[in-house]
Amino acid sequence: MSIAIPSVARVANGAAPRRRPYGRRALAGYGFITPAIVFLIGFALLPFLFTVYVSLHDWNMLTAVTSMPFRGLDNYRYLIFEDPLFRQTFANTFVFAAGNVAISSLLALGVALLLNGEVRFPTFWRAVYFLPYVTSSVAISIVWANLYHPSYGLFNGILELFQLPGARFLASLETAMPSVIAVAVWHAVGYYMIIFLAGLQSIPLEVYEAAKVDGANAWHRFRSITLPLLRPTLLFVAVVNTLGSLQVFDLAFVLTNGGPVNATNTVVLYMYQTAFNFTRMGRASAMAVMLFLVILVITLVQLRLLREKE
Amino acid sequence: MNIVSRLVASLAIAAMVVGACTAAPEGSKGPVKLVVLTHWGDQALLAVLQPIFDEYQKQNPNVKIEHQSVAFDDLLKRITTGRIGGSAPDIYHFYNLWMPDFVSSDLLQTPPGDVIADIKKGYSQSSVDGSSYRNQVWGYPTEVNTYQLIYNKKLLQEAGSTKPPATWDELRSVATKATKKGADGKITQAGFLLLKGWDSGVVHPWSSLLWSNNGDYVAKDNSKVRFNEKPGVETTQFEVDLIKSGAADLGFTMDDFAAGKVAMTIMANWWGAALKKALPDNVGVAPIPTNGGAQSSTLQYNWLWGVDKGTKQGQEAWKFLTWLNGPQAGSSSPMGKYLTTALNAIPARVSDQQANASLLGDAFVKPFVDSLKTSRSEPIIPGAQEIKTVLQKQIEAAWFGQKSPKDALDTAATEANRILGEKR
Amino acid sequence: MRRKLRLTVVGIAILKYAGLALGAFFMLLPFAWMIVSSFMSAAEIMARPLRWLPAELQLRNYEALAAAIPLGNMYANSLIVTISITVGVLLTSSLAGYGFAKFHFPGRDILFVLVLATMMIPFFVVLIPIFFLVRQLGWMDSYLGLIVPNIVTAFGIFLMRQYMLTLPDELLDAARIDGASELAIYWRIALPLAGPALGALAILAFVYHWNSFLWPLVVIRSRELATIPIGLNSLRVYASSPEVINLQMAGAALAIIPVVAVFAVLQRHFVRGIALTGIKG
Repeated sequence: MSIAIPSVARVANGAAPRRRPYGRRALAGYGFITPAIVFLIGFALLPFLFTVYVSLHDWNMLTAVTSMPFRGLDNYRYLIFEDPLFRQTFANTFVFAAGNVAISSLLALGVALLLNGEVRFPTFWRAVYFLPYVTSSVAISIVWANLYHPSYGLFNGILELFQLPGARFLASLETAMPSVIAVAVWHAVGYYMIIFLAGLQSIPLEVYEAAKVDGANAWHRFRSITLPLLRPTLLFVAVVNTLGSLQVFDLAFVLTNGGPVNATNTVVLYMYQTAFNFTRMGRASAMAVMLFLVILVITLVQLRLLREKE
Repeated sequence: MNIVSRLVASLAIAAMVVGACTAAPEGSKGPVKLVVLTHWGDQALLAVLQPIFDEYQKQNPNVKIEHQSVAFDDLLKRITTGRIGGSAPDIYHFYNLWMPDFVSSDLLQTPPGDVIADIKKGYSQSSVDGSSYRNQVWGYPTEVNTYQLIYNKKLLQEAGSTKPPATWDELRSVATKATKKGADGKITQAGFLLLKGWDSGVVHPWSSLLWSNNGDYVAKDNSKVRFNEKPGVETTQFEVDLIKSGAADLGFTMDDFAAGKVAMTIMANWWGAALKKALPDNVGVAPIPTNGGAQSSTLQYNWLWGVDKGTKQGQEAWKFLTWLNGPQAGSSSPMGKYLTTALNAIPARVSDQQANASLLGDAFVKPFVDSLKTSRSEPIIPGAQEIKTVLQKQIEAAWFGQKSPKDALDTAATEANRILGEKR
Repeated sequence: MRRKLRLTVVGIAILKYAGLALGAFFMLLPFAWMIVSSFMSAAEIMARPLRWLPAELQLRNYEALAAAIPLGNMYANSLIVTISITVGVLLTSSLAGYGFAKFHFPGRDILFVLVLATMMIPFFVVLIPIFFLVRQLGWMDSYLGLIVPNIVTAFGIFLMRQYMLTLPDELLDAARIDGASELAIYWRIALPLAGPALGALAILAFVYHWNSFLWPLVVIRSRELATIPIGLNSLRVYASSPEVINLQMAGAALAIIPVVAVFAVLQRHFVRGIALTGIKG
């Protein structure tokens, strides 16, 4: 069993070929990969380098590429030292990611464990939990914004029926971010549940049987068998979930547009606003580069940490 | 195998559809196509607007008008990225606050001489000013909006007030009296509504209060902002005090005012159409309350029709706009009719104001028309939109208790002065 | 003793189903409320205490919705764009994956590392350059602009390559001996054998691009080209009246229900596809 996260080393080892002289077939090989490679260079690699280039300049996309004024690290310096909003969006993004990754992963694991044993109507339960994942984040954000509406929303309506005080949800500084996280968890929990289920089902039943014979109770079995054997899956979920969470845009844009007072503004949303409302492409590119570096480092650290324990 | 052949089939279909769709406009040569961009996508508005466009197309069979509409908050992005994205409309209806950036980005075409003459002759000076930047008129002024105190007559009466508040002290006391709490301590009725999460909703009423407190937004020579001086801090403090007392509870929205759960707010005339429907005969309008013996003032902003510099149909575009904004047989222009009937807005053209006097004499609209005499134009300065966004966020930060009013405004001023310096 | 054990088993089962049901309730509640309130009048939405059901079905909301946004166009656009992208991704990924898995040529491993490296570049990082590139190509506000930047994904190539590695070389060599061309071998042998991976990739790509928002948001201008998320987004307004709420709910319902229907039919494939990309066994 291997994980769909690339490791250069492993890929190189795993693919160690029986060396053969390159022949006419080598040409065919180039033929197969050329469309994709040309495309990746044109639509990913070069654009990436261009982002780095633009981040060192001032550019409103109207002046020619060749004549954008060079600003060195000015955009970075401004964002890091002089723009409190950038620092805030960074903090917000991390709070969102930490909350979303922790809660959705735990809940997904919990549901997967419940569904993994003997259960009636497994397809039904699975479908119910997975359902939100296939729906558009814009559509569900619109629905949730109305559920959260302080005066006409369902949630406050229900609270009122039980004579409980209502909440402001997206309208208050304290509850806005938790409310956005709740939507994100609801949206994604089914996806991670499916992945956990697949991981759980790949653990051979015999291992459990053996442990049962040895008198291990459920908790022990979970700790000494399930968790270790599930580590690759945990790794995958943690990495993918973190990557996605740090790039959150749709929910912040549709649910709150970053408000109130930027309490839910995220780096990608702020970058979008900087680029497309105020056409400050240089500054927006610098934001992109910084978030990219942070994501890269976090991913590498995660891979490292979880791998070491293997 | 089966999958693959199906995939290929769908690809072929998709390619054909794409081809057909991208090829379609090619066939329609000959006639002139004018793409007109507005933020008037609402059905009620289109019901009045579309017949006007149809009328012009009937009179000019060679012209085809394609109306595109986007939500207001997408309009600025749509115009700027339309240009940088190389797919700008020919004509757009835009907010004069954006004019400085449009001009410095070289987005707008200068109107021909006869259009400029028509504008200078047919419109009030404040509207001409509101459509000018760097001594150049950039398009046909359309609607003028000001802000006034809008109140729920019934709720004010219940609070024991026979006339709307004229000063900040009166406003504070009426708002407190009109605020009601439920058994659980939750506010069920608010005395005053502060709009949040929307730049104009925050900054326009705030500026109206600032100017009714002898304050200034920006120095006369546009060299620096002045909104963080004492009058500005007082204005913000006034709003913060209303919030702290519960009278301007931040959980309330415009919907709540329409639902009769808010006594007062400060808003623009365009809201009138919706309010008349929601609260018939129950809405009053009064001048902005003042402080420290100042004269009541208010913020005025304008919209105008401009023509994109990149258009290939410049001549046809201005011809259409001249017709759209020109009086017809001694009566209102088509635009004037649309603005007054559909939008509840005040038309900028003097002859349109006269021709639609009966509509503008309506109890809701008249105070707004009267306020034009004492109103001040929203500052049309370089980076105006960006500065306004910065100010909005900082005022909100003070509202939500994150910063003191002084700190919040100083932060906004530092940032605003930097933008001013960069863009000048 | 046995009885006690039996009781614990029953107790655990009850807890288990109670937990599952509670979770399911929260998962379904937003959908249920979306549908119910899309049939309510504005007054019913505003009513307190809460009303659970509309007195009569307000079909008017759906009529108003059809007038407010071009629903037909939105569906057609989303279908055209998503299907084109999915087909493109399947073709390019399987071609390149096959090439990397089954051929030896100079520079192969370095090129594959390049693929892996681009996999680490999230879309937001290249948003501005791709926007600029699409503009230079004259593809703003067109299907091409929506589709082309998305038809190759490094992840897809990686996934297909990993899967193609498991195909037996002997089979391919046998076809070669029979004189089949390389393209024919790919088309007739490798592709059909890679069915499960193709299916998984198709589902992932379809769901992702069907719901995609950020890219269409910057590239689409005209109402006629709006995809479903873009059309729905235009229902959001600042200064709303309560009528907007049921309009929005009706819009969300129309966007969500067909997807749910498709999902209900293909559920098994969805689940299998996602499991496959998570863990390759």
